[in-house]
Amino acid sequence: MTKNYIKMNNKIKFQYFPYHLVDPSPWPILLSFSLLTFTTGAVLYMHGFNNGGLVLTLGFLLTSSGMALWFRDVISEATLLGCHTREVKNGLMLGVFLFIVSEVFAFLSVFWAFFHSSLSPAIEIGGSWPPLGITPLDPFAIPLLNTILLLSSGAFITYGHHALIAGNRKAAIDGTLLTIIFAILFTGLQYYEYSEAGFTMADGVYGSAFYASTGLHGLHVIVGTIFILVGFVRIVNYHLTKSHHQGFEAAIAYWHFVDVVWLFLFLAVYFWGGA
Amino acid sequence: MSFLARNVLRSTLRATRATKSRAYSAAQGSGSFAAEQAAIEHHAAGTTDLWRKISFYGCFPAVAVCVAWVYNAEAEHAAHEEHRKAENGGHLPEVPAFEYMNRRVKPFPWGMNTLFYNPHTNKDMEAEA
Repeated sequence: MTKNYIKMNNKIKFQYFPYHLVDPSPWPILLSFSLLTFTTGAVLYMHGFNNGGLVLTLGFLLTSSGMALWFRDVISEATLLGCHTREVKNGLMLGVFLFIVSEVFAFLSVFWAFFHSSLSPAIEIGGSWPPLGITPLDPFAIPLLNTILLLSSGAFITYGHHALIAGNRKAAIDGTLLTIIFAILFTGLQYYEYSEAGFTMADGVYGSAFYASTGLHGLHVIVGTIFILVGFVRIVNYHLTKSHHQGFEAAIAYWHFVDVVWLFLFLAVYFWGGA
Repeated sequence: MSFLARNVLRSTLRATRATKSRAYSAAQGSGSFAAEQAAIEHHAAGTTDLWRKISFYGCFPAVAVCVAWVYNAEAEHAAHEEHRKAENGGHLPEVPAFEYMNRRVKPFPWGMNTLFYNPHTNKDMEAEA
């Protein structure tokens, strides 16, 4: 009787498949409501409703803490519980690439808005692009430097990534840290450029299209920097190994996507749209 | 005895099919996870050095050259602005108040100016209101 019980119990403990069946988790439903609060708060705040700022702050705190708690679970599953088998990693990476495809379409819509207004400029804005009275930014000044900074950061992250796979801890840390420094420099220069620009977001369709496209990209750079920073902290804390660093690879894929979007922005919005 | 024979048969069968059916097994030998991992690591050691060279001997000089270029371009731009100010009695020429410029239907949640407001380059909408 006892022997059979032990045999059964061991059979239950052994997993015959490579997939990861997640435990019941409160985070998806919590995060859904947090995101609803966050976006509703943003609309209320921007349209001047009472306490809109309070709802926005609450939504932000709920969303960011919900994300942190969810990611903490994923990190313990990956690093401590060994749930990330090859099969699970393939599924996660597929998810990352599908997410990036959805991001491509989000950027497609702002590019569409930009080309819609710039390819045949309306008579109300002087029938020209840039519209009359708008002094565009010189593409071969800070935007060019930003291009070089982003391209270099793409090389640094590859250096760090390959070093991680090769088991070269110091080089992995160096490469990732350099990427983060260049990413922060990029954001700082964009802030400077926004402050020095002679036009604002409220200067007709040029201002709207310029700040919507470069601003959406800027937010992605900030998120990508945090994404790589998480990978960096995990490398320093020995979470990531030569063969298990899925989160870091997702951050790298995301970073290259952000980099490519910038190249299109530089060519279309800064160079062609500012000439 | 039959129990022993069964166990021997079972483990022999398992041993023969192990490498075929379990691609994710960490067993040694060609085609195994360990062999694949060793090949990846070996390859990565070479590419790490390549990307180290690209980073330090390609990217850093490119950034340095670009910083020098941008510094000059920005200095020229600033000198041009000063020249325009001097020609125009100490301030930049006023941009005509086109209808599509400085649109305000209602204030931003923080006031009339944008978050990146700069009194040297933007019209002070707080004063206009």
